[in-house]
Amino acid sequence: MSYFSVARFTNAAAIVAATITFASTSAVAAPKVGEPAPTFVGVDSKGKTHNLSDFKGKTVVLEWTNDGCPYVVKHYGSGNMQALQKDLTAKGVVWLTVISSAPGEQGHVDGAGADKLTTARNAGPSAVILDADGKIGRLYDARTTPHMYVITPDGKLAYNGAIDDKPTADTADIKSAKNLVRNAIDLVAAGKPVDPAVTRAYGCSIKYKS
Amino acid sequence: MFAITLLMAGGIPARAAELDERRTEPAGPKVAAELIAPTTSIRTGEPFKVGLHQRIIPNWHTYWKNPGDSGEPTRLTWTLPPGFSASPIAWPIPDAIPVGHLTNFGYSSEVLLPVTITPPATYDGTSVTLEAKAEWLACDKICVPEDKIVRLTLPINSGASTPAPSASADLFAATARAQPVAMDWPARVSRTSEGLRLDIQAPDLDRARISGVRFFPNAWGYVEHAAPQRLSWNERGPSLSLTAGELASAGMKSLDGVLVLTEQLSGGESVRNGVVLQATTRMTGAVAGSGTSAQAADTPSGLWQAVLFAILGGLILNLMPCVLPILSIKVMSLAGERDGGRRDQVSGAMAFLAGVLTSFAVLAAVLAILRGTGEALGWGFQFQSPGFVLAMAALFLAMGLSMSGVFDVGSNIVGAGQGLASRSGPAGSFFVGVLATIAATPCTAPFMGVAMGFALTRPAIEMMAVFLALGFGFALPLVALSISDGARRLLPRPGPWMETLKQALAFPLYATVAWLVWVLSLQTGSDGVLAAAVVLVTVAFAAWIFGRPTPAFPWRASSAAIACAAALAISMPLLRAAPASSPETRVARPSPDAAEPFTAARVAELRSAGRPVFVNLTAAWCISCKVNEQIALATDGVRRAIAEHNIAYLKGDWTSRDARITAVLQAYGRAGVPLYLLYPADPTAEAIVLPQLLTEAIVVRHFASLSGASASPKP
Repeated sequence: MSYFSVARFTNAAAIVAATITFASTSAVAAPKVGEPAPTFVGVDSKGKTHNLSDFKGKTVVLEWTNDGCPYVVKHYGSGNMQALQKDLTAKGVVWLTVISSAPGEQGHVDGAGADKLTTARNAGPSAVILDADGKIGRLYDARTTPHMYVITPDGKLAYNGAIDDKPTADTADIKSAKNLVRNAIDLVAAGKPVDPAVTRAYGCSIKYKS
Repeated sequence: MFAITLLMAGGIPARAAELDERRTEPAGPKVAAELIAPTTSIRTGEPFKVGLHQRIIPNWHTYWKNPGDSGEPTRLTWTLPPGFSASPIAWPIPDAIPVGHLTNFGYSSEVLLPVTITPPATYDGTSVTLEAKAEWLACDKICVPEDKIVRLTLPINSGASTPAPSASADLFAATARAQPVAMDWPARVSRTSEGLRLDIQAPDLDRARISGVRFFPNAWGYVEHAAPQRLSWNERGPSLSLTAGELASAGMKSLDGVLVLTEQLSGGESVRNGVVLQATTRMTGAVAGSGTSAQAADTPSGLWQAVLFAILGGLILNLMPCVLPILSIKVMSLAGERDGGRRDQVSGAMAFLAGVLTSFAVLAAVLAILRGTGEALGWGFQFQSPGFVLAMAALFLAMGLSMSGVFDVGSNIVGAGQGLASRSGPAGSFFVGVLATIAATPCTAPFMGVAMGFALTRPAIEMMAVFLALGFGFALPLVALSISDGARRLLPRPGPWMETLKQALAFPLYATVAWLVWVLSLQTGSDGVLAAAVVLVTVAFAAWIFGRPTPAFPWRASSAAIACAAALAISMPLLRAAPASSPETRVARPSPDAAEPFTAARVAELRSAGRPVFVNLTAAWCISCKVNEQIALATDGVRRAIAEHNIAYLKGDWTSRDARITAVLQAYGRAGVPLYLLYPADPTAEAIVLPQLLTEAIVVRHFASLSGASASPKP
């Protein structure tokens, strides 16, 4: 039975550690749906600088990713994410893939690595933003990979949450799932309120710089 | 450690093969899982338990039903013979696992996820095979989904005999303790300017025993998982300040989850108990715009009301028996000074006010700081420390002796020494203010419940405001008396009567000493009373030396002080703090089960009649007692065992102080409940002490041991 006391000790230690950690980092506030999306300036895999305000007048999708995460693998391995990217960008949507993994952490890539991934996966984002210091990720309170955001042409946050409504790592679930990003984009295009506008993003935690 | 060796044996077909392995990820499966049962067989038609046992490699974890900010709960998809059905997983209480600035809820090292299987009423066959596809996500920093087909074959026991426990029975019993229990605690969630507030009504809960409270929401959205949860207490129970999650603003009907309380047991051990909580939203009328109506309850009108109550309470405090003597003397010194300079009077009054307000501010600050560290404290918390109580008793005795005339303290602290007309100066007045505040703290609780209950749940600034209001009300009468010539003219002329009054006022102080010793006896038992006696006799002796009119003893002051300090130092080790419990009296509740009330005579009577006796010493404010009763004692297995072994079940309720129960606890070296005693029928045999944390299996095993006369049960 000794493992119980060990477990209890570990729990206590974890709670203490948690309290300390949160005391210092709890100031992060999630952006609110319906309010202006936080603006940012990011550098993409080709070294080009993008300012969110450059895309005024266009619908913008933000996608957080980490190629080592099984939930990302679910949506890229099946071709689901690429299909959505190509379909939406063809309709004039700007798709920014953001990588916030810190150097040395899972999913971290340099510009060339990011481009290689895009080619290998046959992906179709408008640009891949490299956010190794986690500034954009923390600005949006992005938590998981994937974590999806939709921003309206007038710069307001319309959707924050999961890629779809089947929170599993199982590729077989994609077929029966409702894609919540497509749902949001369609409702924005139709001028209707987005519902659901906030969902629990599911996936691996983002490997932020500590 | 053994988890690793076990992992070597188990092969898990993992989708992990798809994963990028270049990171520092340990090779092989992260979790070894198998399907196990607490019994070696099952009975036809009777629901039974099985469970998925996950052994997780170090640093990795699997997830609770609400995985937190990322992750995914373990899933079981059953393939069962026709007529069999499986319940959802009965999730044990999780741990909060920090990952960067996020928090996950889950399990480390190992977990048993129990499921109840209900078989059909009739089943042809000698055994049954249960099969499930178990899928889980294992993460440390990175995540790996794993799955495994688990199977378990159990023989069907057609006879009437109870299935024998398996090697896993203890693990199931331990997991039963980790299940959240239903306590029917009403709970309410309301939106505040800062987020959410969760108020739980559990007035019986003994906050002195609770070292931690954390709420785990059942689902994502309403509560920010990673945000700190600030705990405060009021007379109804604990309150948690939570940070609202992203869905909270979209309208919240209820907030469901598990409250995990860390309870300190008398053995120095602590235990985490989970309570199922369903908090309803605060509704002030059915008017739309719930956001604003909810906030109305937290507008400053609450604060102003609390401040008003605090001022009134402060005024009333002046009449309390622990304060009155000190202030009376101050008033008498004012009477003596009636012809003194007005400047001195005003400065004295201001110094007194400053002394009171400073003390109250220090109290509020200490409370705020301790509250920030998660300590659960109320008004008069310092009296939970036996050392403080004894020091106060010594101080009050010394003051009383001084007033009785045993000794004089030169220009006395209360200005009542060398003749009442002596002035003590602003420093002395300041000190009287401090002393009066300290003396007032134990007397206040019944008079300021509203204001204090409010203050202790509010942000530090509001708490400070209420405490300062209390101090202001407290100081007001004396300040008014000092600076108003009109009021002071009402005071009687000084004269020899003042000496008589001064001596008479020593007796309320002695009464306070008696009360403090009683408090000490509740906290520490007879050892504490002995310590108090030593210290108090020494104080009296020191006072006597100090008061001797022999000038030939120049070190009398220092030797008196040294004697007092030495006595305190010697007695401190005797003051082993017992878990302080609320001394107010409550009506004993009727016990829901068929237990007779406990008396020693009844135990003896039953034993002489040849029956073994099981005694449960419990209290309403003890959660571990309640959890034990729910998961271990109020079970069919224990009822059967009680009937089978013809055991008499007696229950002693220690919710209100009961000297007979206290005596039993002390006889077994316990400072508090729970205490479970199993008296064999043989009146000469010693009672068996059961562990403080019970499971059905432990109780049944002990009961069964009675039959095997000489069998000594494992503790």
